Amino acid sequence: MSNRKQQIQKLCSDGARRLLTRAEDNYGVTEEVVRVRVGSVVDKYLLKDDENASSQEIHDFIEGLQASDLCLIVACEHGVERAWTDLVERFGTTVRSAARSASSNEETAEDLAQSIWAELHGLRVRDDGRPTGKLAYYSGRGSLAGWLRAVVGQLAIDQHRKQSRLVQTEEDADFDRMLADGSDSSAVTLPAANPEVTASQKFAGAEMQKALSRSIQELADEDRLLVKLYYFDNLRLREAGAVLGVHEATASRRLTRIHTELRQEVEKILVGEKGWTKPETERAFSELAIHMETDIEPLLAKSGVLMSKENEIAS
Amino acid sequence: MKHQNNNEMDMLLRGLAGGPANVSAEKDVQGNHLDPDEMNAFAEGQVPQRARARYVAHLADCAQCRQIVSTLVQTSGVATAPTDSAVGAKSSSFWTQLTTLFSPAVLRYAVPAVGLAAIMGVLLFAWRQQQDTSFVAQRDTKSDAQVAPNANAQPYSEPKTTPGAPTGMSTANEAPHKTTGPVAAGEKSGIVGGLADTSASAVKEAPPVTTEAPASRNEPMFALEPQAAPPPPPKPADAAETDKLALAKKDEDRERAAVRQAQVYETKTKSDDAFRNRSSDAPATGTVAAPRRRAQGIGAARAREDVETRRGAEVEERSVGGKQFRREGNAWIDTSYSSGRSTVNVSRGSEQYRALIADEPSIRTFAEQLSGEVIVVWKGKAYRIH
Repeated sequence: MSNRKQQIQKLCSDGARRLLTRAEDNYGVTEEVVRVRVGSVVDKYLLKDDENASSQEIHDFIEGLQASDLCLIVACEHGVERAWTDLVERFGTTVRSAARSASSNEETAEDLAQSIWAELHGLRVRDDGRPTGKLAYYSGRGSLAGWLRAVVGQLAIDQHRKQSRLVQTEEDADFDRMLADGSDSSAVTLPAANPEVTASQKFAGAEMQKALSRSIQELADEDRLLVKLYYFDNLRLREAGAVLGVHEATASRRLTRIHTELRQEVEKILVGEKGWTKPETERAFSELAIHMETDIEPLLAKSGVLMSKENEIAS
Repeated sequence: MKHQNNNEMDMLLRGLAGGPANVSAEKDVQGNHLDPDEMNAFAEGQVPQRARARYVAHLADCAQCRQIVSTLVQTSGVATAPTDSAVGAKSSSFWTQLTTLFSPAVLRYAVPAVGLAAIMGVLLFAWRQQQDTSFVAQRDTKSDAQVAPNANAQPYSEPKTTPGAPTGMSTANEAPHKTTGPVAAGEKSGIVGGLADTSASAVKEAPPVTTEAPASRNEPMFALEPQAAPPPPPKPADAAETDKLALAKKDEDRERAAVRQAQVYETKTKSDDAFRNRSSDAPATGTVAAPRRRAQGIGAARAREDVETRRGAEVEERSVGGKQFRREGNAWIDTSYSSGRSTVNVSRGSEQYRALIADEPSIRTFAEQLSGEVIVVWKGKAYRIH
């Protein structure tokens, strides 16, 4: 074994020992078991992105793990009944609440909650006799309650996708066809219902939206995430900022900067590649914005049908 | 313009988000979603920086994971208390917070700010103290002026000098006022006889008077301008106030009577003089008439003096050229003058003054017979001669 690996193993062993002492109730799990779990977590979150992470970083990372929650889950994974009882007792309400938020009715929520416990426990058995379940994926980095909510959310989406594949609506079919055909100017958001919108305006709108989509893709990851959270996921600025870990005011300033960057990028594309003139671009911006303002309500209502499946968790 | 541009981009982005085009970009990441642990760790800010960058890149293009993360953020209450630190938020203890409060980065700004606030507080306090003190001082000064406006009379701008004048009187302009000849000496002696010490200590003994020589020698020497008598101490009781008013009224009546008497005497002497002049061949001008006029003037002045000394009140009044003037501080003010009236300011010796007295010779009389500042109402206009 290389020195580096030995060093990491030693760090994980020491970290596991300290973690067990920190936990309120370690449920009798051994240091070796915890060491294995800690090692996998360090690999996943630290060494995967930086193989040369320092000892201090590894030490601090292990100290940041939720000791009590991790010991509980490891104990559940190893079949400690007391741990399972505590898990259900302490987090049953959390799971039910998350299931209710992800479901449209009480019956579905109850079904979903029951599915969660089955998923956590695992219906199949591994080679070593331990049940396969999602418990092995809890790292202790975040809180156990949050992890359970995330599990419920993901399971709800998976179940919904399974159900939606079975019954495809006419709108979904049309949507899939449109996407398969590539970009279609008529599918873009300029309101076809408005008879005053000329064909040239529709075409200009389509070109502009293509340029805008491209510009968004070329944004930095954090900027793109902010745009998606605020405009596409309809989060409030405060919530979008919280996801990014910044204050609302910071998010607002970033968004203003992003607007400027996007506009410059769109202008560059339209003028440089599509042969538009600057005045044409300026006019198109203002005209399209006016049209968007007057007709955005029906657009959102229409696209809401397509987006609802994605947004069901959030509703 | 920038605001408008931002609004346009905002509307365009909303329009784009409302359409189906955005979904196509996110279909690619369907197979490689974040697991619940990663999403939860990201939502709670428990992901190391390098891993976080990876997750951000995924979330930016994966609506599904983004939805779950958004929900986690909202339900965990992190949205209500966002911070600017996205990586490894550690639980902060009291000591950690205290350390942060007294960190160099904070102290760098906090110490000057606290110092500035302290300095401003001290200056404000000192200013307030000064205001209070000056207010009190003003009040005392004002009350003294009201009670005894002439008690601390300053030397006039038109100085008065005579030999043997009491101390405190200016002798700087003695020379211009000297007159030659026996008459002048006699005049002076007469004047001296009416002099009194202007100092406050001598006020009580006799009504103080000061001498004042007219600016022009050709004009008769009129009355010595008596020094303003200090007012008696005010009576504390209301009854004393009533008595005072009654006394003042009596004095005024007596004064008017005396003034009338003086005017009658003056008129009589003038008419006698005119009669003598007509009957004799004595020249109307010259040294013979001048002494007589001076004598007449002196007599009239003495009558006025009597009026004023008899009065002995707080307010001093004089009658010049048929107009009544009252003394207020260093100024002689026409009794027909009201403070709200617009006033023409004229300085003695100025071109304006010379033009004025050329047009209105009577104003010259007022200006020359009354020293110091004179406010006179003449032909409907108020003039302030100083």
